[in-house]
Amino acid sequence: MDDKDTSIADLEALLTSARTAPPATVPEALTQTILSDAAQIQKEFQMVAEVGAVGGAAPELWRGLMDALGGWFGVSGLAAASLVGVWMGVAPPEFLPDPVSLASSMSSEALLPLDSFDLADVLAEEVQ
Amino acid sequence: MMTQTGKAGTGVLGDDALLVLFANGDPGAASELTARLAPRALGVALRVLGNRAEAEDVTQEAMMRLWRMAPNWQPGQAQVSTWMYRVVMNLCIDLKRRQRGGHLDLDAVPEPQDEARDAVQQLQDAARYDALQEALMQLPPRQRQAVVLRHIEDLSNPDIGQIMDISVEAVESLTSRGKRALAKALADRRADLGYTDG
Repeated sequence: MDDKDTSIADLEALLTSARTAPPATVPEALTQTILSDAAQIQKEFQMVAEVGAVGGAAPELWRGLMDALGGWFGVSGLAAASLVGVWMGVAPPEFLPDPVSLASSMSSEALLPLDSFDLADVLAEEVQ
Repeated sequence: MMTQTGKAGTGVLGDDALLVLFANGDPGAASELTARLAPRALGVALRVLGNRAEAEDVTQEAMMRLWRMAPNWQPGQAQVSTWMYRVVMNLCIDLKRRQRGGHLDLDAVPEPQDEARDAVQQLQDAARYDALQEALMQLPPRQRQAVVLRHIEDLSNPDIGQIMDISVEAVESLTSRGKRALAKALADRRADLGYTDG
């Protein structure tokens, strides 16, 4: 066995010894510090969870309202119907009169039949 | 509502499950994880840094990061121990970088550190342990990390690659060069260590 082989063999023996040695002993003070850190972090987690629970009261009201409207399906239908109504107001279909032009052209006089025919004639016809 | 399994009930659980318990507030999980992971973190940090005080600081910080990460841990994606090794290695590099004014040449051969001997003697008195540690401290940091993880922590090359963020081939290269350098450094001390020819 030459020097190189001997050195490698010695190194292997040292590494095996290190590998099989007991794990490093953690000083008690360090363990306590680590556990103290852990407890502090857990408190922070708990505080975050509690804040989340308090913030959850408002969603409860919305959930109750949603249930009253029939759940997600009910709320979705209501929202869709509202949107269709708004859209029909803005861009009405061909077969419906334009509410804007209707409002501008229609005067109160146009609504009265008195100007288009004579009421007395009508009454006379009925009598006949 | 907090889960309270207590210390006795956590011994058979995996690290993943313990982290979930910890995130849910179980104090026993913290104790068990500390018992499992802190010795490994301290051991590898001691080997890489050669300084007990620094190794303890790194261990505390690594455990702190573990606690903070717990709620976001996704079981099954990686091993907690691999994650811990990676954090320890990065903390060791950061520490050395700060000590050198923000610059660390990972491939440079460091000066042997006198304090390494005292620090390691607190862990174990055996002369061979000290000799190995002194030889390790003469390796470049990346070689030292790879050798410690491969030949002392007994991790696989893929795991080491994941921890050090390098390829398996790079791991093999680092460990091979590291072993040769270690053997050379120890060759002059064979007699001191009780090795004889033959």
